Amino acid sequence: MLGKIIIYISSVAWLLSFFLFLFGENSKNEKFLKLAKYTFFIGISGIVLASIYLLFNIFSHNFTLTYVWSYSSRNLSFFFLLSSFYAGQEGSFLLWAFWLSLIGFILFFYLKKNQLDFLPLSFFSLTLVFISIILVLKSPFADLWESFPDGNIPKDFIPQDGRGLNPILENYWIAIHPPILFLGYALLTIPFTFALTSFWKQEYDKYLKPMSFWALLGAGILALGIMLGGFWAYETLGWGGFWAWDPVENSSLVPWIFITALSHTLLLQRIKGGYIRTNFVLAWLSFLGVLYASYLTRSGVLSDTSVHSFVDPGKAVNILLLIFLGVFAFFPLILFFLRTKAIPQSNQEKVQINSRQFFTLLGTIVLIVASIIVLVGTSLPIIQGFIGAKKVALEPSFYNLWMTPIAILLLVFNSISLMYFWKETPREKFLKLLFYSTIPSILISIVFFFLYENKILYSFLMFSSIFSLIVNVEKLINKIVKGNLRVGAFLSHLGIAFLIIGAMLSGGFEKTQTISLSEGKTAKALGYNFSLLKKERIELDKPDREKYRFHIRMADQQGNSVLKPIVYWSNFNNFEQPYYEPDIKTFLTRDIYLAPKSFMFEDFFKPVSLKKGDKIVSPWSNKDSIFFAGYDMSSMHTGKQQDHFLFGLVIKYYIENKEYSDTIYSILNMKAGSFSPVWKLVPTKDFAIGFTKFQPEENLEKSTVELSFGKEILVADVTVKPFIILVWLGVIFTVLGFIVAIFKYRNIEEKN
Amino acid sequence: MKKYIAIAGIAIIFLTLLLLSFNKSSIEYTDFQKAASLNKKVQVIGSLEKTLPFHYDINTNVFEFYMKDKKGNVKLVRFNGPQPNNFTIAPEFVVKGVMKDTLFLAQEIITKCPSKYESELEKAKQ
Repeated sequence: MLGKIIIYISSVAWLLSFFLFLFGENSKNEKFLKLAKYTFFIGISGIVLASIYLLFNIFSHNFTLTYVWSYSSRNLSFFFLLSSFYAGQEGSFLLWAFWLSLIGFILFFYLKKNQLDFLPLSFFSLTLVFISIILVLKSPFADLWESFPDGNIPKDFIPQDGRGLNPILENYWIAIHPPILFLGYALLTIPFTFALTSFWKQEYDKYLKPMSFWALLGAGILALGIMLGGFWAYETLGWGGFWAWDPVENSSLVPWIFITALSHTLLLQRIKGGYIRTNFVLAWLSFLGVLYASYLTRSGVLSDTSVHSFVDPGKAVNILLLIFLGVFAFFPLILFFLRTKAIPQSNQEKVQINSRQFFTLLGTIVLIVASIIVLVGTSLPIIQGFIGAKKVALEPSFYNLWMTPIAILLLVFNSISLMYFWKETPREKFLKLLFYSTIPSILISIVFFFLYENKILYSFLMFSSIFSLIVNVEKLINKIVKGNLRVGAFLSHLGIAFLIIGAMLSGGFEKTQTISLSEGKTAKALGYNFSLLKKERIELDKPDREKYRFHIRMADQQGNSVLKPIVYWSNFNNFEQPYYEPDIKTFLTRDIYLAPKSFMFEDFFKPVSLKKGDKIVSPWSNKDSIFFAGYDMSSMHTGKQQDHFLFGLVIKYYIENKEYSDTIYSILNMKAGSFSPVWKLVPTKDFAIGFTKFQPEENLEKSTVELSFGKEILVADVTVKPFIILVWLGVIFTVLGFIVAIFKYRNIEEKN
Repeated sequence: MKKYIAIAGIAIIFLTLLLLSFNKSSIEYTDFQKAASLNKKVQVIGSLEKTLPFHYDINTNVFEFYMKDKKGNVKLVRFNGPQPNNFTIAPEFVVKGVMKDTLFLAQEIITKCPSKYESELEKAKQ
């Protein structure tokens, strides 16, 4: 109840803050402004308090709350409990609001310090009005009996434990990737509110530096957030790559492209004048991109075509999200058309073709084209649904087809633009740099063409990447030698070139082979010998899972290394299907990526059926025999799951005149009706025995059990990923570049 | 005026190319019968025909099974890869690939599992 009240209060506060700042700033009414500040801080406090209160509920395991019950459980460690805050939709909206509140707090003092007025806070508050209304409709503070009105749940009902976090998310990346991504999303609100303010007040130069500062910060953080997700997918989720052109990935890319384009056109406006409308539109589109991403990923419209599954949040929230999108799509458009005629003409001369400005502009246009392609491709199922056409899924090949030439153009335009100066470019200097940068690029791409499968488009991509790399390194060194540390742009472009080379080599030239591993067998793949050393049970203290780490030796002439992929079963899906985690061996020039694909059992002999007290001849030798001595029910109840039973058989072996005794188990799941044997090696043999079937009769004496003999086999994909390290290196440079660039705009008063 | 005509021209060419490339990269949902006549990559939704055998050959890394599409046609599906683990319990799955005569050559198998959300709550209530 408390949580809900806090959200109600803060949504009212945000609404008041929106109106009060708007009227207060327009009429310069001090009383209104004072009130506005109060409501603004009440709004912030409300969201922060609600967040703390949700965390408190999560940490105190208050499972009466549907949200806490759905996404957390008692056995989760500190960081996973923290992460369950945003594991579901309600929490992710709250996380968004939380970041916005913190940013709003900083923004307030930023405006104050730089003597800017508070109008941006009005538009800023409006975004929070919508998010807090969503939080009212889809509250993380709803009780179980409210969420399941048909469930006849008593109001005082407290479940013993929560459902817990989806086990595939139980990885430290969940504590890192989503918060940074959402911080990036939240930051894109600020350039947009400045753009609105500048148009509202018709002061087109005043907000240039603040916009640049926040746009660069947002672009840097969002890039980091997106790519950390890519690294997570690659490193632990076992998707094989860092980017799959999935709708969720795409929808985060679109606002990033817009904000990156904006940071370029803001530079053009600052140095050359003009571009006022362009900057407004790009700031607007980048924010709209965030809203659209949030609609796509949360409305469930793409649930058939995405690997990230999201549940439909219900009609009310869907409609509200659309209204949210609609308001921020049309209101700025109206403002744009009201102002557009009165915008002063820039006194700029015609743009010369041989100038930095011209090529920067070309690059920006290509960026916008790229985002349109991604946007259209991602929205295709919606468009088809809208016009009533048959829904089709787009393959990644669509994006690869378009993005390769786009990347080539971007890199070439980037290189050429940087070879020019903002003002006159000495012809000699230009030609010299052109010579030194293109000759090595051409040579490398020709060698590359003949060495690697003669892919012509990739050779062009290689040429343009190296071209851009050389130009940017030259500029970077030049600046640093002169003691000028304003090198952000060069670092970022360098990073992009690295990233593209890495993406091309690791994606376009990867090789995959499937291997099957079992004890005592060696599998050959891609020049390595793989052999299974052992299977080790891990996380024994957690009864909700059965987790194994496989030790797999990878050997070639250079030596040995051990890869440790993981296969596990979890309570979360009633132990029905295993989850996998890959392992990677990283070398300087390549990664060896081993991703489990399947875990199965191969029968060595025909299974045998027997009753209690039966003694039979063993299937492997006439001289040996097996005796089924009796049932072992002593460990029937395992853990807290009442519907899981550990069903044991006491077995005696007579092998080469020696007697061995063992108990073999099967996990019986009453709910799912599944029967999963716990395989054990037959004494002195290299195959295992398993209790695979139980045929019940009126009593245990008459019932029949089935025993199987064979081997467990781990099937895995081995992939060589050449130079994927360049992707991560590229990301580091790119993000670093954005951060370095921010310092240029730290102080608004300073010229240039 | 000339400028706008040029921009519009470029935009139209760009959109046409975009639409053309959709056809190349999109794969439609269909059934086995239609897939045979289409002779390009498609996706078919269906379920496992449990009365017929399915087999994974570890040495060749080939998995074969019979699948029944929504119209009730049963066809042999061949997939170069292991049997997906949730294969026998998944009520439905999607295969992406090409139909060659009576054989469906799958490049990808996507299994979908039913949500257990509601039943979990029942369990929690006990």
